[in-house]
Amino acid sequence: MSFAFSVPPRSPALNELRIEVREFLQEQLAGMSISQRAHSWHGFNAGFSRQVAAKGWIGMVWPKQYGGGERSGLERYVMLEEMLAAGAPVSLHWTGDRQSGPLLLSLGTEAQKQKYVPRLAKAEIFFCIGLSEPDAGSDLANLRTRAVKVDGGWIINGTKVWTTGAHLKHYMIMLCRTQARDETNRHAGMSQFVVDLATPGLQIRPIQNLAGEHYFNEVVFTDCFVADDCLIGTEGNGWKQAMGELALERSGPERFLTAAIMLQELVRLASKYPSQRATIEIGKLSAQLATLRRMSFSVASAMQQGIDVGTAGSFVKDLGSVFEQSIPDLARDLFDLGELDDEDFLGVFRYVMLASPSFSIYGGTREILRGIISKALVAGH
Amino acid sequence: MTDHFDERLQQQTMLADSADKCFADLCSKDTVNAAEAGQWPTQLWDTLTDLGFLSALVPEQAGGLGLHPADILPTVRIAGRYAAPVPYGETIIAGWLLGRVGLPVPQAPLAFGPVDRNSTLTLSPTAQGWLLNGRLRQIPWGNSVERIAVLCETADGLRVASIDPKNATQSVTTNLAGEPRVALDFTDTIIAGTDVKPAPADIQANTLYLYGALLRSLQMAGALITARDLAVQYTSERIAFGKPLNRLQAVQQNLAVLAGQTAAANVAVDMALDALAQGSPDTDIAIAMAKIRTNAAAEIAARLAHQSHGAIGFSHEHPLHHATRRLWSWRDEFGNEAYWAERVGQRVIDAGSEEFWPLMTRAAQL
Repeated sequence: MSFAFSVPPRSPALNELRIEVREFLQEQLAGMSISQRAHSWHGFNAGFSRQVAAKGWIGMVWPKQYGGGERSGLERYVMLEEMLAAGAPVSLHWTGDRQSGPLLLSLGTEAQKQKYVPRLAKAEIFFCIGLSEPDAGSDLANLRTRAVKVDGGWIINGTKVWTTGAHLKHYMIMLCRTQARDETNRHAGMSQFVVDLATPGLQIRPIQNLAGEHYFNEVVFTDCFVADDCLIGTEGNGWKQAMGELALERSGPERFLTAAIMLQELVRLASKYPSQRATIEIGKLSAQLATLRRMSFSVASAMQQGIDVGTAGSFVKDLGSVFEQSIPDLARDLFDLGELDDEDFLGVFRYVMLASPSFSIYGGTREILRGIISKALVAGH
Repeated sequence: MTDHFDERLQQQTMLADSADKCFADLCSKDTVNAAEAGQWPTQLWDTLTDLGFLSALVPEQAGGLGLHPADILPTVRIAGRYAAPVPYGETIIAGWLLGRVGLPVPQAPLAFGPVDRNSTLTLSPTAQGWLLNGRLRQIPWGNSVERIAVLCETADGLRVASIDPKNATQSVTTNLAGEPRVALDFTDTIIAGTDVKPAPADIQANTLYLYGALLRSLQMAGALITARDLAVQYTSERIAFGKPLNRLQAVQQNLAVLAGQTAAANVAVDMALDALAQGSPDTDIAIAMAKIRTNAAAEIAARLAHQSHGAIGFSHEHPLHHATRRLWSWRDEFGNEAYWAERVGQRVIDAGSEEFWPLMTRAAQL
């Protein structure tokens, strides 16, 4: 993909969908407090996920024969950004819609597609991803979890960490070694498996984040048996498959709308306590937001055309996380929080401030993303 | 709709290719240096004239191409990439305004004004036509343009006037990039009645200022591309510590940020052009956002481009400064970030927090 972020011609259908989603959310989220909404795509609510599924908004772009809606990636983009802007609790189905479903559809066997994808689209099952390990974060190729071939399947041993929502979900798509590590080609010999989180020998332990909240988990595999039909794609090709999946993770509107509710709250405060400074900062944030939306939309359009978006997605996530992280910092400087008597805003602030370090870490650290961009620049594409 | 979109895109691509070739052939480093030393780039200008770019927005019956602004303005970004030392966008916009009201459009360098927000210019009726008084500041190439298309409020409403700068007292200065910026003082200057027309209803007092902001945003978007490309090239050629600079992680991180800012600025400009093409009622917000974003990118990217070049980028010999001095000049012309951000911010705050997101999706439509 070139460094120009082109967009397709406007379609009025997108605006109709936008209004439909907006009205749906107005109704569905009526009872949610503003600080709950600030949790955005980190909020879990199975009932809500099922309502979204009933509208056909999980797996919107997937084939109808697997429960999808066969709608465009641009329609999906519009639906996603409306969800985020409203602070909808989409976490349970987010990963499945964004990457597990597409991965199964592109690499899964017919039996795998039929077994998982329709239930994903109905929000009957939820997926998480198992990539990071205690010794493999940004240097993912250092992972050690190992699957060993046995009669009829594989025995998995090892530990995954930072697994968001494993305690609430049903399946994990994980990456592990299926061959001994080769120091001359560290990316070789890995494979992906879909693992039922109720598999005997699999233990899920909570990891509290710095706010004392439980989203993450440590998932320990002790002699877990998974059948042959749990292997996804080609044995040994797991690294490449997982990287393709990660590209889907970096360019979406969740990369700059995590703090959308806080932004909306800043506008409310700025009319309650008017100042030229606040007005100017809100204008600047708006300009950044508009730019990021167009970049992300452009990537959604490129993905739809089957163009490789690895680098473009890295731009969106890098710029998006800088933007998101600036919002709580700016808020405290504009509204002198020690003097601010506004519990709604302070609730939002507490959540976003404490969540903000993760914005430039999850889904690819800033340094890794910039490395990817730089390599693409040097290669001239 | 798609057909029309494709057709339009095709035409824009053709114009862009042709502009790119023209600037690549005729706007070298030496051309820019010579222009900064006061030598008008005749060959470049004449070719731009012959290709019809300069009268692109002049109606066909008046000898122009009769294009829509959104079709020709993308070439201003290309002019910015090459640091074109001519009033390219200014002549296009001035020609558009003069053509709109049926005033003659000379085939010559043109300017428009006022380009500052607190103009003291007055136009008052007199027996011989109109009397012009006050100062036009910062007029690009104001000492060598043939005509200045001026928008001026009068007792009878907004007027468009075609002004001859030779009738003014001129004070010539240059911006940081050596581009002439001229103050013109008028004292009871008589303007013929035939050179003044009422402004059409869709043109307001701030219309030229908005177009100016869009021109500079486009030019900066282009200059950012050049600064990025020079940094990418230099860091691949320069060897330090036994390897090309771009193998050093600290350098890679800077290149990535430079490229990110360049990409974002160009997207912001695309967004403004898009609003213009669609005739969106929120085009002013889109242009304001483009200026805010390109200005912000200019600050970060110019620093990083220089940092990537080390000492050589600080030399006159190396062409990096053709891009960076222009970025530093253009970001301050037609409004800094604070000016435009206050306007956008006020619009957002007036709409209210509940309307924040709906306004965002309207002003920057996808």
